[in-house]
Amino acid sequence: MRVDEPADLSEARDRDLIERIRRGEEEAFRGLFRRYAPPALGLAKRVVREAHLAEETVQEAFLSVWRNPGGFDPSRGSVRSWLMTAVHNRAVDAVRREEAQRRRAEDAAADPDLGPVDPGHSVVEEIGLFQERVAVREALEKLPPEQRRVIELMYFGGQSQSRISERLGLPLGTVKSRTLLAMRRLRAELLGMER
Amino acid sequence: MNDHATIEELIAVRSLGGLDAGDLAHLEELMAAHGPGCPECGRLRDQYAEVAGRLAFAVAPEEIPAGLEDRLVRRAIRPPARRASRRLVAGVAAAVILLAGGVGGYLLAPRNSAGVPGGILPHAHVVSLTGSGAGVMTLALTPGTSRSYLIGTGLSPVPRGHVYELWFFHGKTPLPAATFTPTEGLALVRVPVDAKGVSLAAVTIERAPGASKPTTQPIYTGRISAS
Repeated sequence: MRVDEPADLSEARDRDLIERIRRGEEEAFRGLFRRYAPPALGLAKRVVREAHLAEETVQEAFLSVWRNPGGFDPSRGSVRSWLMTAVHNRAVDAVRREEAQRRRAEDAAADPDLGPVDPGHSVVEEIGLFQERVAVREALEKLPPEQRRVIELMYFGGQSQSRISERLGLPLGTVKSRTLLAMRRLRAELLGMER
Repeated sequence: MNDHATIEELIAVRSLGGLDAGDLAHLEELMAAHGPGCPECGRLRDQYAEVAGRLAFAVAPEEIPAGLEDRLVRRAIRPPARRASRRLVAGVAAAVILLAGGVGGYLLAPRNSAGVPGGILPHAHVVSLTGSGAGVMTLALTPGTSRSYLIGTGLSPVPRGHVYELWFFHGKTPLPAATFTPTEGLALVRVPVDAKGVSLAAVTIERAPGASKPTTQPIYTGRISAS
């Protein structure tokens, strides 16, 4: 996917922040943090289920951005996806390391509900990010339940394909195919791309 | 299932963090066979990464605890290291000391060590490991011997009770090769395992003293071409 021109002003602003971070501007780093740390912390807490570990995960992800802003390739996707992937990768690693991973994963699986989208949510968020949340939630709701379940366990629960296979009593191939089908649907909904 | 169909399925799972180590190695092999410039592989990788990144926004944001921003900025913007520490960092980061038989020592590609004789041991194969981990990790391999080295710089500290673990993959099968803990972000590790026949190297973080199979997703990987 090539993104030669920013799709919207939000992405343009993010890319400007990354460019300024490359030049070592502390204020740009703070700007990126203020914008994306709240959703990053929400994601990390959802995956690792422990506040201190979630904060550490978010810090490590943002530190990696400061140390290597050149890791962002504008031809490959958006700043926000790149940043959240950094957070998610670290959150999943933290989950897998914990001895109680199995228990945490079961707790997460028992409570997959992401909660209602509440415009009156106490954390102030930019309207663009609120709209993004609505769009992603709607895309997830459109998935068949069996596909949504796999996405919830894998992405929001930090579970591996083999762990999901074991937990749901499904062949590994079924877990993979449901994941693929779900991601194709999400790609169509969120990126407007059928292939 | 043709190659790209398999690749697409594995990429979809990987983008969500769900891929096991064996399948990760398989995906790396398939994509390497297509080459780094394969447009279809690149398209699939980028599209699914973008979708996965946006899933993050389904979760409600959390209020940032007071002081977290300032603590982060202090960690990010540290005072310059002392001159002696800088020399140590440069010296360890730039060189691998290899003993060639009984002749003496060679330095592999020294960078900031003016006047130090350098050269590449004739059969050494250098592999950069890349991934989501911080810093830089490089392998200097001499297949057919048990004298390979791993150099790491700028590495993040491991959580208490954990170690970095290097794996050599033979096909889909990971074999433990070495464990280490960086000191001030640096690691210079002799790898006592023969790299002959290894197709992929990967580094994970495991509970000390190490694991017999990877239990976490690799944070560094590097393909090792046949030689």
